This record gives sequence, C-alpha cells and structure tokens, in this order.
Amino acid sequence: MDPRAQHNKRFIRLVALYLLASCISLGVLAADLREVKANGVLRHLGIKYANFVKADGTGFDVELVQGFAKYIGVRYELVYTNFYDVIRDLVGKNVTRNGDSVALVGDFPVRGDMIATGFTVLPWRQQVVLYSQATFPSQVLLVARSDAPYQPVPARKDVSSEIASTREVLGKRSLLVMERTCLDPANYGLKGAGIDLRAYTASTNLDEMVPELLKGEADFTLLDVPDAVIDLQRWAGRIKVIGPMSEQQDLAAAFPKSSPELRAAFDDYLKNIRADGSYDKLVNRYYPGIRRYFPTFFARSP
Amino acid sequence: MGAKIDAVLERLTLTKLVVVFCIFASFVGLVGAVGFLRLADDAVTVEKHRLSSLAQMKANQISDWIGERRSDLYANARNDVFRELLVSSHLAETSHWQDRFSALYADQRVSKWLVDTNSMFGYRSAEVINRAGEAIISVGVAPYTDQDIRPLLGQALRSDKAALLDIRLDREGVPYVAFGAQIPDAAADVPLILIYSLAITERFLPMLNDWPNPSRTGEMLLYRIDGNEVSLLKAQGRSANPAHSGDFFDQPDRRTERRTGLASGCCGLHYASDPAGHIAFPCARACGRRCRQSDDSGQQ
Repeated sequence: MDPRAQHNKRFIRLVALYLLASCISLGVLAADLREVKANGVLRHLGIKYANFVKADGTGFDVELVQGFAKYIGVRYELVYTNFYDVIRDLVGKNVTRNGDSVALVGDFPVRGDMIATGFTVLPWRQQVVLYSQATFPSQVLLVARSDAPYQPVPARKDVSSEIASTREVLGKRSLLVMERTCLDPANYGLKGAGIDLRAYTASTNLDEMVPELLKGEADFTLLDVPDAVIDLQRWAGRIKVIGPMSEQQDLAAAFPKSSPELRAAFDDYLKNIRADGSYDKLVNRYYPGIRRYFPTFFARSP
Repeated sequence: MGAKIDAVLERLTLTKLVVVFCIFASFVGLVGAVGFLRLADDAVTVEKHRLSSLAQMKANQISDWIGERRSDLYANARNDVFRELLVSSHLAETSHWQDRFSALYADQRVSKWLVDTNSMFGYRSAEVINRAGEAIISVGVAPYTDQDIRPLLGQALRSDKAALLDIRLDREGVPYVAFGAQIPDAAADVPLILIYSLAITERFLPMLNDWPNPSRTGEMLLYRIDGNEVSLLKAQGRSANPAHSGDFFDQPDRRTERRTGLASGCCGLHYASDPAGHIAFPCARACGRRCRQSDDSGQQ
C-alpha cells in the first residue's frame, strides 16, 4: 500500500478513536446530573447544625437546596446524617485521615447526592469531594463563659495579630473540642501545642458545645460565627467571645468527585440567586446581622 | 226601566261588544305597560344608585386601607429607636472583629424589632434595602425580586411619603402589595428604605368581598391602568365564598366595552355588555393613583 495512504488511514483511525473517547468521557461526566434528573429526586445530606439544617426540616441550606432542586426540575429530599458519616454517605467510602493525607476505604451505601450543611471547605476534604462556590462565610472563634476572668482581645491591625492574641489568652488552658468536625483542633494547629484538649464525644451535635461549656467541662470552646450568632442569642449574657481563632473560611456545598455537572449546575443556580437578591433574603432570614460581620463576602459584585 | 235595558241590549251587537272589550283591554294593557316601564326604570335607577354607593364605599375602603398602611410604614420608618439603631450602626467603622460583632448585634436588634412589628400588623415581610436594591435586613419571606421592587425604591427615594407598589403576583401566584418609605437621617450617600409587603388574601380581599347586601349577578373587579394598557387583576363572583381570594390575573382585559371606559379614566356608571351579550352596568371608581375598582351588576 502507498505509504501516504497508509498514513492517512492511520490518521483517520486516530481521529475516530479520539472522537469516540471524547464522547464516552462526556457521557460519563454528564451522567451525574442526568442521573439525578432521571431519578427525579435530589437527596440532600444535612446535619442538624446552627440554622443551616434545623430539626423541623427547615434552614438556610434546606431552602438553598430546595431552590436548587426546583431549578433542575426534580423533587427535593432531605436525608439527615451527622458529621462523622456525612462524607461516607456521599461517596460510599469511609474516610481515614492521617495528617494532611486521606484514604477512602470500604464500601457503604450512598445516601445522598450532595452535602449542604454549613460544610467548611478544608484542604483534606477537598481531596475527597468537589466543593461548589462558597455558599456562606465563617470564622472560628474562641468562646468562654461570661463570668470567666478572660477579656476579649482588643482590635489589632490585622486578623493574624488578633488570632495570635487569642491564642495567648487560650495558653495551655482547657478547650472543649469535637473532632472530625469543622471545629476539629487539628484544623487550627491546636493539637500537640500543649493545650488541654477535651474532646466531646457524647454526641455529634455541635449545638451541645455551649451547654457543656456552661456546665464547666472546660475553660473555653470553639464556635464558628454562624453558630456563635445563634448561641449568643440563645445563651445571652452567659457566654462571651474572646477572639478569632482562624482566618475567614468558606462554607460550601459538596458533591462526589464523579458529579462535576451537578456541581456546575449548582454554581449556576447560586450565581442566579445571588444576582436576583433571593440569596440575600435567605441569609437575612436565617442569620440576621451576619452580613455585617462579613461585609466583603456579602457585598454584591458590581 | 226593564224596557230601556232591553232596548240597549238589543242595540249591542257582538262587534260592538268586542270593540268595547278591546278598548278596555288596551287601556288596562297601556296602564300596565306604563306602570311596568316606570317600575323597571325605578328599579334600574335604584340599582344604579346602590351600585354607585357600593362602588364608592369600596373605593373608600381601599383608599383608607392603603392610607393606613402608608401611615404605619411612615411612622415606623421614623421611629427614633429604630433609626438610631440602624443608622448609627450602618455608618460605623467595621474593620475590626469587635466592631463587626457590635454591628451584627445592632442588626439583630433591628431584625427583632421588625419581627415584632410584622406580627403586630400582619405583614408578610419587612426589609431594609439600600439604594442598590440590596436587602441588608430581612424579616419574613419577601415575595418580590430586586427587579420587581426597583420602581418602589425609586418612588420612595424621590418622595417624602410612603410609596405603594400595587397588586403583583409572587412566583407562586399569590397576590401581594408592598409599601416603601425612606428612613430619614441616613447619610445622603447611603439612603436606606424600609419596605413592608402584605399578602392581600389575608385581610384586604375578605374586606373587599364583604358586600353589605347580596347580589345575584354582581361581581367585583380590580383593574390596573398603565398608560393605555388595562389589566384585569381580580375577578370575584358574588356567589363565591367571600373568604376565598378570587381568581387573579395579570393580563389585558378582553372586555373592550369596559376597557374603553376605564382606559379613558371615566369614573362613574357605564352601560356595557358582557362577553355572553348580557347587559351590564359597570361602575368604576379610582382607588389611589393607578388602581381602579369596578362593581358590575349584570342584567339578563
């Protein structure tokens, strides 16, 4: 055969193979959103926490995901879970964490299509899930009983200095923590720093941290701002904020790594509701005043 | 005497008797017809007066209701405690965490105050909105989008009075109205507006549907007039349960006879026919600046 014809034939085969591979890969990528649409239901994994997901089935993230389900034209279903099992319920694997590295082990039933529950964006979690654009801001605060002899740290020139001052107040004193949550001391370099860490294990409900603090289980506890906003109302006059323990963080919805199209659809939806004002109303309703604490995050892009 | 009677009877032929009967019957018929026409005319006149009074009464009710809501909002937007909390907080420097927490507390207190006024006056939502249309404080579920509320913000910013966004449908098709007033003393470059919205199915419509006397064919219609465009907002038959909200539309009305009268801005009694060809008397009254109400009494 003419070498030139042979070359052309090989080239055509390569192009055909490339097109076939592209079609197959596109099909796999698009399946996540398509499957949800085919099932006709979006299963929202939520943890009863602050005002993100409430026990009565309402909450900021509940309404957010309900709106998303409507946006993609499927029915909404809330699936309750807890901080220890939430990733397992999403990806069907148990997550074991060793320092900054994580491993997925075992096989478990997948119970939901997405997580939205005031879920902090953390580097180790980014290895196992796909995060949406930030849905909410947060920051971890050090909280003490109001009668404790510690004073809130004064304003400094930047957040790093304020965090350093807060760490000075904490010193080596006792700190009530809940591991494997967004308030895990390992996330903020508090492990191995000589702090008297007291892990709360009686339940996986972060809303119980303040009652335990008030019982005298420790000198301090950690709260993130969305939770602190509620607890400062609920326990008015009984607790006080000492200062920030972290930089500003992002909370976001999380999807399995195999669901990029679902994540993209969610990001589109989020962009729309931020533009038409319904996002602002949702924030104001569930977290009155919080936009004043994070003015940059909530400022509309021009 | 008997002979005279016999003579008269002899002269009365059958033809003459028929003529006499016809004259008598015609007289009675004429009297009856004239009486009927006068009675009918009186009945229509009474009905027109009744309709006119009813339309005026309903128009007054609507105007009063709108006026009360405007006054409530105006007074609340000028409440000293509310203004002090809101304005000083929004002008404060919030670069440090403690300042930001103080601002957060202030907004929470404003929210709480709005929750209280909401429950007291039965509002669906209350919001404080900035010039850009951004809701900075929200209580309840606001039925409108930023786009919907823009004309109201413009009116409120231009005027010293409370402005009205008349009946609109939310995304679920539930009718609402909204009122907005500027909060005084805010810095000139950051004007703030207080907006209240109301679901009109809860108090307004039952009030409107509550007629003083029953009517078989009367119905209450609400129109909006925008330039030459006339939209039928509400139709409510009298036989329907007054507690029901009625059917809400937001579309041009096809009843051209009524439309012509309303578009020309005629308040008063009109003569028209409905789509089935029945004679109807629409009675129109203006309520507020743009919303018009019309009571129709149909006659078959």
